[in-house]
Amino acid sequence: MTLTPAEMDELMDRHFAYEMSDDVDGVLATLAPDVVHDIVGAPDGPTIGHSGTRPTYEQVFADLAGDRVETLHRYYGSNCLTDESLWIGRAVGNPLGIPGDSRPLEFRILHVMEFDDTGHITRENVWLDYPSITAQLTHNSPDNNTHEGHEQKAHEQEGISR
Amino acid sequence: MTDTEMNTRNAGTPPEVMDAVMARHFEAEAAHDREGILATLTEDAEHEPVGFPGAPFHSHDELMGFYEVLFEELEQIDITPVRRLHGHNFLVDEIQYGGRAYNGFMGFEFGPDGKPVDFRLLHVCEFEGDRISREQVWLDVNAIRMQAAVNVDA
Repeated sequence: MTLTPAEMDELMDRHFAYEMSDDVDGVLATLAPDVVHDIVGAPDGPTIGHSGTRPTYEQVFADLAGDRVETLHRYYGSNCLTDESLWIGRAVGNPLGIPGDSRPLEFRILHVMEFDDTGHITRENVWLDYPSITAQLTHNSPDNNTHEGHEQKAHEQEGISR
Repeated sequence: MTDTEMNTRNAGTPPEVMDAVMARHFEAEAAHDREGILATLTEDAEHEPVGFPGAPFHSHDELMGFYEVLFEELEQIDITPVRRLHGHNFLVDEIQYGGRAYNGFMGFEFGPDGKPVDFRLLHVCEFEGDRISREQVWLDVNAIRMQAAVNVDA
């Protein structure tokens, strides 16, 4: 029995709500035990399962403090959903290896989700508007650091923080 | 929420038709055939390579300019299908793109002689009949950035 669009919406909204409240256990509860969690560009590649994915969320929540997510487009397939949203919050850590300095940040994010019949996410594939994020973090620096300096720091950290 | 939809306007484009359109689209891109690319798009198609200056593009004239710049900066060598999901009048397609980037592709310095690039690429396409009405493209920009930083041409 495949999920209805309404059921997929409810699951996604719950998933995003847990993310907005930095609730790692809540987020993991929306994922299947053998979930494949794949943030494109992550230096270590996809993670598998709850124990493999927990550190990813802990790092994301250390880097980003979300205020809200606004859905822009949503496409439904058979037990799959593609969601384009606008993430709005602050960069409190070092997202993408760049010091956030608690600056306001908003960027588009695409989720390609696949579900099992029990209402859990079996695959979460995340694409970020990387140019928008880096532009906001490197061109609006409160301490007037240079773009090159932040780029250098990003290179030194060999990729994005997750 | 500004646009949540299931695309239930009509009977829908069969998956095999969407696949055939995408194949023609990719073939035309590989051949730098701008007319061939535009033939796969509706006249009012929205085309958005996420992160490109000036995007999204809303007309064939704008797209001709975009592809002119893109083809100066990126040469396709091979693409490998990774995953494709179909829905009602849309598909989501991930490929591994292999090619060579030149000059300022995606805002990074690849130089006039170029460097090899290999990155993940996702298309989210909506269809009207046998043409694409919305094409959104997401790239693994972090991978591109790191490959631009490589000094030795592998």
